[in-house]
Amino acid sequence: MTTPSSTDEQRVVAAAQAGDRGALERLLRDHQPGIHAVCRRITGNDADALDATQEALLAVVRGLPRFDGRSRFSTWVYRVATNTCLDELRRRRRRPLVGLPEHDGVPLERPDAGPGPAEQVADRMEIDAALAQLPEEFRVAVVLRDLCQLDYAEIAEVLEIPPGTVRSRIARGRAQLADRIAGNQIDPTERPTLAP
Amino acid sequence: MNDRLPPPLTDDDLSAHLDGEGPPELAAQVEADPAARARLEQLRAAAQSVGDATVSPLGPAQVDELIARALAADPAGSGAEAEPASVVPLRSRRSGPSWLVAAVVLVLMAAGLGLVWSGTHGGGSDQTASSGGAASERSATSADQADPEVAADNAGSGSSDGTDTAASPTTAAAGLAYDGAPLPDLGTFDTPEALRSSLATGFPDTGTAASSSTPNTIPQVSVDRCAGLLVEVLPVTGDPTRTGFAQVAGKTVLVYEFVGAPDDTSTTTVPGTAANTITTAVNPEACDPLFVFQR
Repeated sequence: MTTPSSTDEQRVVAAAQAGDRGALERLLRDHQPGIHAVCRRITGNDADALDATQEALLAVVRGLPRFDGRSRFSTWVYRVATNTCLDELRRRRRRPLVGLPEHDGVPLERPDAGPGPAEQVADRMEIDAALAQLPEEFRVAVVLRDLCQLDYAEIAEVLEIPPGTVRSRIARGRAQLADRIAGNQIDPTERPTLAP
Repeated sequence: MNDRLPPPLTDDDLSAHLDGEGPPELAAQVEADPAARARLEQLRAAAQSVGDATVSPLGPAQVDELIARALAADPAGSGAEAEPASVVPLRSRRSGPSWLVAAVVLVLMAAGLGLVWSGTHGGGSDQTASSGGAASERSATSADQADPEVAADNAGSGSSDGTDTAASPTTAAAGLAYDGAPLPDLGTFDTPEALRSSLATGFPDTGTAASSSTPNTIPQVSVDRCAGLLVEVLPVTGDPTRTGFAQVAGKTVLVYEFVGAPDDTSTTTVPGTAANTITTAVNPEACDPLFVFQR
């Protein structure tokens, strides 16, 4: 998520909270790419990500008057977006969650040789598929850490769980990702862990 | 002796070390353990794969739409430019065609049953414009009511007969031989957004179906049909509380206002303002919404 400097953003947030629609629009535009990226990785497909992004932007607008500045604005936005995405997943629980291509029409096959855009897409799909197979709580923690670059304390705040649980979920999520990406279908429970 | 051996490093340790969240002494332990170093590289690759796998950004038009809808929900908007309304995200866009098809099938079946019933009992009845419950009236559609519905579906090319509606926006249905529902005329607009803006702060007090003085030739059966469909798909508590019509880009559209059902399914920690009114405008032919928003 590309964000303006902290001081500048604080001014924009304050202006938006005071009713400046231009400031509000700037906030939404600044944070929309990050919100969409989080939603895309958590929901696992474009359509749900778009819906969740819309819901999250609405939630940001509605919740902005209650943002008290105790956390970074971007952390609060991620919290809103993550909760919105989890709501989206709960609503659509009955649908199988699978890795879907980023765009319709993209071939599923990995090209035989040569790196390029097609292979990058294939790699992305591989990550999508691997992420989709992670338990939801691991996936969200990994996305917040490795995509959003939040630290453990911020993730703990976003997910409202202890930092130790954050550490455990990230570790277990990464471990399963590493095994899946490497093609090793090792039962992750066989690997030593301190996870609660 | 064994007391001095450190415990084997776990994925938790290595992952925390990777993030700089582990204790300082962990680094020396990792360096001294080739297996741990190898595993650390695997975890690093997994983390990088997530971070490096870019998400294709939304197109500018999509972003503009998302932002516009979000801004419409701004409760702090002030003045006439503000729209104190929250837009219901059209998450049903993908499922829209399916429910529309199902609903249309139901309506056609009801109309067919009405035809059969009418033929069996040998009696058509004069159409009466009713403002009663929309859903219940759908099932009681008579042949006489079905005909104007079909006519309305085919309307749009007819020109106004000019009998008594010279200034009213009733072009789309003007060719109908039946009297329309007594709906208030909400005006003429260039775009759906303009109509939406005019409805943002409330339904115009130009009258209700009962008090309208502007004739309209959209058949009541079409009004009820769309109301019934919307009741099925929108989170509302019952039949529309307000109904009107407007001209948008030269086409007649129906406008409904409903009492919104409380959303008790959302667990979002930042709840929105309590929205209790849902307003929508639909094309009378297919009942497909131009927009839906909450106040």
